[in-house]
Amino acid sequence: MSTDDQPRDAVLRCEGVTVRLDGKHLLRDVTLPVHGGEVVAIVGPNGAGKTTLLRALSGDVVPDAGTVYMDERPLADFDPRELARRRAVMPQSAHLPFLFTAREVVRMGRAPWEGERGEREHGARLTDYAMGLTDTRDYAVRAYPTLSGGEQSRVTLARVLAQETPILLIDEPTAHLDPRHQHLVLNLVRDLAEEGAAIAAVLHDLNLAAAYADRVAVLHRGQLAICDVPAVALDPEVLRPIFGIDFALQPHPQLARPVLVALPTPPAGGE
Amino acid sequence: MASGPLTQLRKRRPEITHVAEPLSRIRSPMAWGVLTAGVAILAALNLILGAFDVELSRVVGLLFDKAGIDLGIEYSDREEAVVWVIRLPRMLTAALVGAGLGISGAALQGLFRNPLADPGLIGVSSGAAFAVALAVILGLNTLGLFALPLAAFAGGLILTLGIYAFARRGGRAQMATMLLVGIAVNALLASAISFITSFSDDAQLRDIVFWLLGSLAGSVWNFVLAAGPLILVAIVVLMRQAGALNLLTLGDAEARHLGLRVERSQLTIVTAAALATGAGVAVAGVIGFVGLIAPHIVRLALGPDHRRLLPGSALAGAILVLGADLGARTIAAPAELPLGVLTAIIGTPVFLFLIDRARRSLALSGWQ
Repeated sequence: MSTDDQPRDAVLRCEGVTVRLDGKHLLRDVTLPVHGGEVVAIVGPNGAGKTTLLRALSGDVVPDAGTVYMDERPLADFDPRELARRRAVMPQSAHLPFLFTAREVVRMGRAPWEGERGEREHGARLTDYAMGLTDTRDYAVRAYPTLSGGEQSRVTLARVLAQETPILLIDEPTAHLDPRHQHLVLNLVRDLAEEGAAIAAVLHDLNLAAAYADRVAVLHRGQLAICDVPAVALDPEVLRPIFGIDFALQPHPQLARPVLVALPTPPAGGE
Repeated sequence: MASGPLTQLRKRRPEITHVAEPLSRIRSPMAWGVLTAGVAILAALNLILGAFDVELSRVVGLLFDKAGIDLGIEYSDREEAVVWVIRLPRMLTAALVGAGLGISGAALQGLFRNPLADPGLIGVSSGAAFAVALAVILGLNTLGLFALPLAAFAGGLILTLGIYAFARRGGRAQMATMLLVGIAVNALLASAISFITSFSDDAQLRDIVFWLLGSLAGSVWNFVLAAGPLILVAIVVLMRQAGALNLLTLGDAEARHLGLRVERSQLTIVTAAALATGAGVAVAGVIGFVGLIAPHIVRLALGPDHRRLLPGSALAGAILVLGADLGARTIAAPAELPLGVLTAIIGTPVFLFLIDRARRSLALSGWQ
């Protein structure tokens, strides 16, 4: 599975990261490492700081306190191109005002490698390959703005994959996707982790997190409530005060992973 | 060559995935031919046609003569004066100004991620217009041939960079902010110019209006030599930002994630566009619609990739201004029509047609 030229130690780590906006804490003292070869799901209720954490990890947001390290070097020490060769970021939504074809969009993911020897062919090959993996080959020559939300989302994922980085930060990769494509995308994410990639993904669906993540980081009001394997982090006792709703834990019919069923009646004393 | 997780995965799951090239690649050779031929033909017509026509062979003979090659073609002194002293500098100015406006429009539409952006929006035109009005009312235009062009150029550049600096306060420049600030400042300066004209005398008013409407009638070789290099440098600088502009259309954050130094590219693009537009406005006055329309026409034929869109828009802009100036000189000859009025008359219906077409093709594909 792993090969010798594969950087398995690729790691992204935030230490005591605090982000404030107009005096309000979006993140408070969050410490979270993401190791090579693992998928860390970031979950939490609306407004818990999931996207802000991802933006801090990607360097979009400079923390008011704390530091983000990539390969044990502070993020601020990297120049943009160096950074772009190590980590890719998939945004939540990607609006494009011009009629670039899906393939042109995916090819833009190769921008950090432009000028390398053999990049013209290698880039074209990886572009096609990433489109194959995300099941987007059929709209390769269609204009991106004319695609549906789910199609755009997978084209954007293909662009992020084509960037060929050992670290991936993904915001809601399964939003807008039908069940088949949700699982196709997350299987793909798992496959990449098995090849050594370090992946942090914001997921809305707790069951997708339970089924595909190695560890689940649960955010609550900007703080990291717990980060552990799904069976521990997604315990109903942990989730109840955070989500304000009760869950029942069921065995998965196929996998050795838990399935959460939300129980509609809010618990007494919940939020 | 890097070997990241995707390459590893490809070794394990090697699906064959060949994808066809986009259609615009197939259409592009013809489009380049049309654009280049359009520039050449209109350039020739601008030398041949006018208050009196000069035969093409005589124009060619004269040009070769000036280059030191005697083709043995006879032409009169009057023809030499008309072609060499009047029409050639005017034709070159038209082509340069048009190319500068076209490429600036394409670059700014990409930078602002807005197909309705225009070089005028970032304050170049209004800054230049205000500076000219001020210079005229202060009597600075009597200082020499270059007084007004210099005022226009400085006014446009200063205002644009000022707007950029305002949008950039507190760290990263917000392009949407820049656009809105540009709109507000444009409105303010339009009022200021009206205010200035309200107490200017007849001669001053004529100077200001002549300049606001745009005209190439005053073109001389010195203008070509002054504005030409600025516009050409700006064109080269913008072309080198083509890849950056492609990434910027994805969004500023996305472009940064793809390794672009976003602020540096933004400042480079804004400055180069302001240079090209400012130099053009300085010698030809305010010429509307070219920077807006040229990129739209080219996008239809060559697609949105800035590596093709930028040079294509430069050629299309040159075609539009060469064509409009040919009309301005010949339609009501010997009288001249204001160039800016003509580009607006041609530009508006073309723009409406383009919008309608875009709306229809997007409606067909289910895009709202």
